[in-house]
Amino acid sequence: VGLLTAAQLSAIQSGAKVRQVWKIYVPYDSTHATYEEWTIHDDAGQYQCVVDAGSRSVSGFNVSMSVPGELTVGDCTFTVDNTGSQTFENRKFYPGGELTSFFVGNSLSGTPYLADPQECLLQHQIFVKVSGAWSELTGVSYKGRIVDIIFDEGGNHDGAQPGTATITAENNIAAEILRYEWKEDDADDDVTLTTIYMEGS
Amino acid sequence: MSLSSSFWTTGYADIRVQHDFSSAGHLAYRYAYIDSGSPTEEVYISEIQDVYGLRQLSSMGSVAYNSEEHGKVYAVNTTDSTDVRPLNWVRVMGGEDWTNPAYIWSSVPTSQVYIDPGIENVEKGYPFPPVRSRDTSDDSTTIILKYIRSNTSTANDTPVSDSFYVRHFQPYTYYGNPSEVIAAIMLHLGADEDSIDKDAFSNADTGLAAMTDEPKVLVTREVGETIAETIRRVARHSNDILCVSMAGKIALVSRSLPPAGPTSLTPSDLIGGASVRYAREHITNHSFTSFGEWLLFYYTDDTLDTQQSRYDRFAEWDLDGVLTNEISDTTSIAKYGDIIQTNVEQDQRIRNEDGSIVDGILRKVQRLHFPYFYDEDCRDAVMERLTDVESTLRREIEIKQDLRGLDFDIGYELTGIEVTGDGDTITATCIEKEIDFQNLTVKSKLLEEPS
Repeated sequence: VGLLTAAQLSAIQSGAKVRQVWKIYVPYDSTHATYEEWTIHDDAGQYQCVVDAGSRSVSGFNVSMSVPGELTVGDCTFTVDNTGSQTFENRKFYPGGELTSFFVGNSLSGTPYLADPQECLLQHQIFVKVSGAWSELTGVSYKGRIVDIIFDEGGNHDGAQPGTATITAENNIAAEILRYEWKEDDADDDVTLTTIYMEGS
Repeated sequence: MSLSSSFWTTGYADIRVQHDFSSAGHLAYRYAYIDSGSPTEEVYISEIQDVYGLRQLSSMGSVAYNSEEHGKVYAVNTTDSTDVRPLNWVRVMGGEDWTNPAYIWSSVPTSQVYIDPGIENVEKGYPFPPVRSRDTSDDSTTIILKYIRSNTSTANDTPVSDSFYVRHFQPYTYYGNPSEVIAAIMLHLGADEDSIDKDAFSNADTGLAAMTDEPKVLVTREVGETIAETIRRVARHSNDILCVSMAGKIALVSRSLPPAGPTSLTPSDLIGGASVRYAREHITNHSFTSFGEWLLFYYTDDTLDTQQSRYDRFAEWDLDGVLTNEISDTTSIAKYGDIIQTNVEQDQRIRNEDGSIVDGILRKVQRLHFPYFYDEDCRDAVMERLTDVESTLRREIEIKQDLRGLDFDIGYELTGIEVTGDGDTITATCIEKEIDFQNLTVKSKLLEEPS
């Protein structure tokens, strides 16, 4: 029962190592047909940009008849070192105008595509060391869309100013569907089946 | 029953009510010159539907006509032309291209709706929600929706044109239990099935189907309402918990078959102690529950059958009758006071059948209304929880753990909880979580579930 295995529970209880991984998925172009995966932080890897792992809150709706509660959208916020010193191959989030972009190499066309952060997806995973191998806690494995970035100071595309960026992501459902408002034309309008002509009298 | 694998690929489309449920497929027949001496024609555009034991006259549909046409729409018994049933909640959609917002054309039930083109060369549609006839005792009665074009009515005094047409317009409508409907809405609107907790929805479907009476909802999109608002309303037609899970997936978590969390929780499983409080705000012990779209009610004469009359009258003087069921827990009321659960509170006047107000009679009505139910058994099945659980005083426990707190998500049921400090061993449901990834701690809020 539960979301964790007995081995994972035992490992956590005994203080086993925990590893967190954040990945940014950056579109190759504005069609978003294909994304390129960038690991910006891996506790067991080369790049470790996350300086504050942040938190995630979830809550249930309809928990009781009298106080139904809230349907939260499952957002998550964390802060990265955006100076490039913890480089993920010198990529960073660039603030400012048209250059509010995550600068990635575009291996398809050979030219870089400056993706807005809000075009990027985020993946966050947690692993625990079980019997010498990393075991993922899949019940909390998260993939969402970046919806907001707060830079600690202004910057420009050419510079590598010191500072951090706080990133907020939320799941795709919240971003794309839950806030959608029904429109009048969300309907079937079928003339073929129903058009009947009657001769006048 | 559970949601099959095919539900997530194609089956969900069946939850969205299609034309075979509408007026479109039920053009019956027509004939001319029913009114001797005047050029009048009529066409039956719908027939009765038997939906979950409730006879309904078609589903969402509309009547449209060209700009030169006049006529009227009403529901009538095909075997007795004098048995004209009221239409209610007739809504108009106007404009040149069917895109203008719908609005209430007549919220007062009336025996017929006169169509007056008004604007030259502009089509008008008259979408209508199900026109209901609670007439299960008499299957021989067939109620149909009839359109008559006429030049003889006082409201229609211009010549008829050469042709008219009936056009069907059906707002997106879903029919199923809350699990099926919420999942179908999400999938229909493009949610990636990977963004949906399929196991949770499937389990909720199983639990709902196993209830005394499976709660089935008929949901029509409401222009301007967000999807979040819609699915919240649908979830309220069950006892299940709607959430976005720790993994960022939308989920409806079953109450009757909750996913199991830890079967033991003692202080050794926590970081620090547990805070415990009595959550009086969760108590409700009294309700007048109603269902369907009967939001305005009116007097009907005694020529209608008993069942019909009971339904039409309930809001005036039948608050504990069939449509409005009074549910209470006298023990809880004695202990904690009368705590009424309501989502509708309005001043209400008694109306005659023609919509006029009966003088001098005004009452304030408090109801817990389930707009998407069309069967009292569905409502009653969901409301069983009021006396079983909701009327009791329950404890709310907040705990802080290491990553073992990730063993359960929203809606999971924890048993063997021994952290209340009074020697009790209780069962509780997780209703909130906060995961601190910096310090690798997990806070959970649990609400006691009486055994």
